[in-house]
Amino acid sequence: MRAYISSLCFLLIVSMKLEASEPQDIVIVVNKNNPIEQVTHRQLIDMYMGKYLAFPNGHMAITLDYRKEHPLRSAFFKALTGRNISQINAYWSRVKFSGKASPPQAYPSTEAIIDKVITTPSAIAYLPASAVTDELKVVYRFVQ
Amino acid sequence: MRLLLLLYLCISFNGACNEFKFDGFATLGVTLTDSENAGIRHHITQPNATYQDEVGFGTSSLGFQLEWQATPKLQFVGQVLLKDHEEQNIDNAVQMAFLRYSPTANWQMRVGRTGLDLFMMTEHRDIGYTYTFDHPPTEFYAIVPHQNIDGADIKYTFSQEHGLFSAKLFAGRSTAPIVSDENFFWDVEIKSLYGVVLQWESLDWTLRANHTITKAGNENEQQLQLQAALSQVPDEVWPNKANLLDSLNIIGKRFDYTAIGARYDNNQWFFQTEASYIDSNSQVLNELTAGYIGVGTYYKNHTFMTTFATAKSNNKTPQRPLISTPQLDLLYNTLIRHTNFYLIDQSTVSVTLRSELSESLAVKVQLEHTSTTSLPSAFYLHRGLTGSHLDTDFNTLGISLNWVF
Repeated sequence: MRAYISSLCFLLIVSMKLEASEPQDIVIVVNKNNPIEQVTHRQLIDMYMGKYLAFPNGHMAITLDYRKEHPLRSAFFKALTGRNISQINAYWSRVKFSGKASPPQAYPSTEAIIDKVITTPSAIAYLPASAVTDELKVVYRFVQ
Repeated sequence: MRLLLLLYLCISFNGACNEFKFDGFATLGVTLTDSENAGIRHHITQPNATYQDEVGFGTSSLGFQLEWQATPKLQFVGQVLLKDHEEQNIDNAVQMAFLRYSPTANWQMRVGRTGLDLFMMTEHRDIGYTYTFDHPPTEFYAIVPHQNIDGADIKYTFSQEHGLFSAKLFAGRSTAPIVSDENFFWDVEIKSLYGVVLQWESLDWTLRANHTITKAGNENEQQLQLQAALSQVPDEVWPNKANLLDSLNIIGKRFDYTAIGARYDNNQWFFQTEASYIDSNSQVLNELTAGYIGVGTYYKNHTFMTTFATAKSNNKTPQRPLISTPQLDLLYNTLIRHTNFYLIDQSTVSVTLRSELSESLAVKVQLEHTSTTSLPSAFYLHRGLTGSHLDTDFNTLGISLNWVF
């Protein structure tokens, strides 16, 4: 009985740890044929804040995002900028409604994002690390 | 404008729906004040104002934006804004309708009706969700009626190690209304408008400088009537007549705007400041210096901010005619309403609380105290100016719900 309870507690702690760490384990991916091997944190900020949509080699980048209600979006922008999602929404509203730039195209799911990256050579997106496939290339990893 | 509308209709029936975006914004604003004489409004274009013991809703607005990514490098953007206008028509409602061509990440060109990149918040001043203030500082933002430009711009962005530098040139024309007391309405046309914006930005910092040169393209009926009446007065009776006639002749007069601004935001504290200098060869608004600084902090879903704003012009009340008759007195009193329109020397201190009710809805409360040396003022509409005591110190409370969708 004691062993059973211990095992149950261990499984519970492990599953809680996995659940807690999973949202923070985010990677940036591009099409596997993209010659870029890595991007910097600042270049990601420029791309995802609509300031400068280019890879380090100067080629234009197409940034992909999730729809507003997707939980990964808040975690990603917090990791990227330190800002909460309300501040990010206010920022993008300022940029969008003043006509300076358009937000990234938004998709409903990780699967939809992966499909788009695979078929778009200049796409860049963020994913849970566990969702990366052989057809994608990881160019940045958020270290928590 | 028709060409852009036609182009939009063509591409909207021709392409894939996943490249089409539709967004909107809304502000429900309430204004309360203890001001007896100065009717509170946030902008020189607003035809309605709020006085003591009234509840004003004139700052509310509703807008929609359409974006169409026609090709990876070509995009159409259109925006309509419904707010308190003297004349409600399509031309006033359409804030933006332009094509954007981005051949590389460094270059961007736009043609059509774009936002006027005059000051830091000019292009989005009607969209309350986008800033912390309940409304952009009156002393700085209320004076220029123009908010968009029919023309073209070109922007170059250069990525550096620590930030981005951009330079933008724009050219075109613009029309916007000025509304004042006694049904004064002037749809002010700027026929030659050229500007340059230099900006450096990182995640935390934005530094910018703007210089815009313009020429006035029209004048209003009241100015023409005053010119006709004044020209009949003998020079000996009104020695200053020539200068006054010149001040009433607006067409072709130069109005130059120079502004610098800075914003810093480290996610705990922030400040935003701008200073501007308006220079003209017209006596109507010879020189105007304005500025503001706002400092704030974030706490959970709340933002606290305090702001000081000030504006001062060098306008002077013109000399009276040497003799007094009922007709000359009436002409003089009418004339100084025109020449003193931009007689401005005032400042406002405000405190603001912004709270996020959801990820796209915010409520803002702002209390402000204004001191002005004289009334009437271009910033306000007026009542009871004939009284012996004018209320030149007043408080205003603004509460607004701001939503983007």
